[in-house]
Amino acid sequence: MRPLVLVPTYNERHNLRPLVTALLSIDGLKVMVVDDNSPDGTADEGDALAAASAGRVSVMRRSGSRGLGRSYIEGMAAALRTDATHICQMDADFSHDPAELPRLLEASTHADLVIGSRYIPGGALRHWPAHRVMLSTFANWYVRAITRLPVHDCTSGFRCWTRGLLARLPLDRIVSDGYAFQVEMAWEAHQAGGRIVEVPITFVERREGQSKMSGGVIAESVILPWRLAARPRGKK
Amino acid sequence: MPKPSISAFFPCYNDAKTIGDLVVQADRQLRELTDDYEIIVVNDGSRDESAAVLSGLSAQVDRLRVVTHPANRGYGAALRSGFEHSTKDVVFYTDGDGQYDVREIPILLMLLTEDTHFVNGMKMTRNDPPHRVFVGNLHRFVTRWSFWLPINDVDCDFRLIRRSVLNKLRLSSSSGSICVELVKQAQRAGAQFREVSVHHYARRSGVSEFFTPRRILHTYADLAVTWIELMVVAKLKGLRALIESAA
Repeated sequence: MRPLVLVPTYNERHNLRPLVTALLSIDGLKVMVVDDNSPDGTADEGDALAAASAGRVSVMRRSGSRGLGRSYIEGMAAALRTDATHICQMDADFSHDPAELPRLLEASTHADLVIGSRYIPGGALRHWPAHRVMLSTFANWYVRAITRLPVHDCTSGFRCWTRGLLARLPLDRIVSDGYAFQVEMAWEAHQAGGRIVEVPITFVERREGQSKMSGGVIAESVILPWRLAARPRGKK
Repeated sequence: MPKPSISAFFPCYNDAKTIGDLVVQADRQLRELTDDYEIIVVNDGSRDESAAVLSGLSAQVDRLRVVTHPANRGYGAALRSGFEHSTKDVVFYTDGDGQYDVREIPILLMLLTEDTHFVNGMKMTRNDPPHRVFVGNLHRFVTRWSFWLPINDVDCDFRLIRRSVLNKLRLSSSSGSICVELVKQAQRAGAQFREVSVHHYARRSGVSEFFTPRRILHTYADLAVTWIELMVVAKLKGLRALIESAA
């Protein structure tokens, strides 16, 4: 198993070193930092880490159109050009605990896509206000009701893909960018006949300051399930 | 696979004519499967000779234990007593009126692989009059989709359940709606289900406790309450717990 973790960053300079250090303690794991042109010099910090990592850390500096979804698409395409067998994705701010990553990797021996899930027995949330919990719970219910996607936490960004499945997905067709990006990818995985497994995780909100939730992100999330439901089905 | 330890129990309400054969057959079948088993009959306040039959049977079948409800408390209460008194790793139960064949326990057991927690029967061909089959199928359809159940035949009371799953459940129904409650709670507890066809025989004792207008009305009122409990109240409780733990 040669896993590679994609870590999209935007102004994560202070989190990057502890996160990468924690990730490199997992045997054989590589890290690819996908920096979205952060003004705080996250990419420079990444370069410093890469120089000291004997090739286990790489940095991708993005300059084109911004956004989490775009970062992931470019990162995934780049990851597929390496020899990685498993491609993981997680947040850079320790909302996703690097110590839980080995459990996702372990589960990926039985699945094409492993999702770290907050909404299955054993999963948990920390430091989220009631309205965020309700919004996220409702969003997942909404997506499931419309798309019939058999996933309890479609918006989770803590995932582990097998190379085989990810390479089969039409990455150039992915239209969404915010939370909806995660939903769309899960839907494509399901349509491609991928075996999806959920593993319980504890999600800890760390980010201080502004949430990335905006009118645009919400509108996209409301519309996307209907677009998916209307999309022609691929052969399984 | 190591030999399982099995509790088999039978709720019994005025089933004096069938319970004897059932226990003797179960004893014979289970002895072939494992050394570690027990048989329990929950006598739910029967008004026929069940009590006498059972005490005679106890002398004959040494693995048999009888749990007696002095007064009739209902099907759900009888099942809950059965679950409470079962001590083994795998729990099997079927009705005391002999609608199913306990010699088919090995078929269920075969499907109880390591990753499976709950094996349920499906009635193969029903030995009932046509109008009952039709109503039964309609009922099955409505309950399956309104409760979003993981199995086809929730009212087929011929099942194997792992104790690890039973320990997570909080069953409260005293009536026939316990079947829905049992399956839904097990599903929410993360149980993996498997199903298999089993034979179904015309009941040989007693009369149907279901097929009278009053009974039907009662059953659906009961299911409606169960629906609100499982699909609304339980969900809201879950959401509240999530909010409280996240704060």
